[in-house]
Amino acid sequence: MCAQIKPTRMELTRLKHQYQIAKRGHKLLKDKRDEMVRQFMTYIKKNKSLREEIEEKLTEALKHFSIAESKMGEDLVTEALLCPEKTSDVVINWVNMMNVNIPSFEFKASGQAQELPYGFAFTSGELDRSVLDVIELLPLMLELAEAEKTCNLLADEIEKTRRRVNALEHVVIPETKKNIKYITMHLEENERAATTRLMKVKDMMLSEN
Amino acid sequence: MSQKAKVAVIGDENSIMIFNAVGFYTYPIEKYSDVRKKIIELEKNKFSIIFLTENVASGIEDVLDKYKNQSFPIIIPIPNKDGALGIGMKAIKQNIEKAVGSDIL
Repeated sequence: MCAQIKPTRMELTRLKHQYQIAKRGHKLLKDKRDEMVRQFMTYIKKNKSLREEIEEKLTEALKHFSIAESKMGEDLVTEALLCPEKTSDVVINWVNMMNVNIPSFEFKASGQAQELPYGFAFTSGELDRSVLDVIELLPLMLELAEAEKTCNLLADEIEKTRRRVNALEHVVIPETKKNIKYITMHLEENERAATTRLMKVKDMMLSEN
Repeated sequence: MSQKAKVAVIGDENSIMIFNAVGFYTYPIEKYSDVRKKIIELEKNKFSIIFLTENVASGIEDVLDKYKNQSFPIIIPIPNKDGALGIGMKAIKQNIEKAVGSDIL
């Protein structure tokens, strides 16, 4: 690297400027990384507990559902569930966190929450229960989706930021420092050379007279 | 910026039928090889969230990884009636390792 840079004052100013920017960028990115890791920890804990809860409850609900299915017969269940009266509206909002766009969901169920979407004549209580369980779980499932996506995106961004911090810390900053030192030394050397030359010339002129 | 999200559920028919009742779109899968095609199709149809039962998710980790760092669609593994297989938990662990460097939970 040293061989390629020209030891001039212009280059020195440029490098000094670059060094300042690299140091500033390094500090900012380091702060960003630290804050993102902090946020990430809260989200990942939420993610984990949500997933545990959902895995447990959903398995339970689906078990009830399969019992209901075997009691009522597959056709009847399909018939009961095939034409839903309810529609679930999910609205996405975008939140910017540490320059990462993360989605957040808002759940709006149309109709009443505790209403079952079919008539009671041919269906069993097990089915009611499992459907109600799932309805109750829906907001949690959306929260899980949100938390998981947030964690994915954050983890990716943290990795990227860490790479950048490392590259600045271990490559760009030391390299610039080295180059600045090289140029300063070179310029000082030039200065000394000029001084000695002048002294020499003075001596020569004095001896000529 | 807000928009409406479409939610889909993919899985074996017996497990996901119930999500019909709450107004999600359900796509029963019979052959495991259809899952990839279905996901790509749903992505084209602008679905935001795809819940995937873990038994059909097990063979297609590469697809899950591909969508991991995109905003949409969000693919979330959920258990089916036989319980969870740990795919979702594994993903959480992977995330932690990626971000922090080691598994600390």
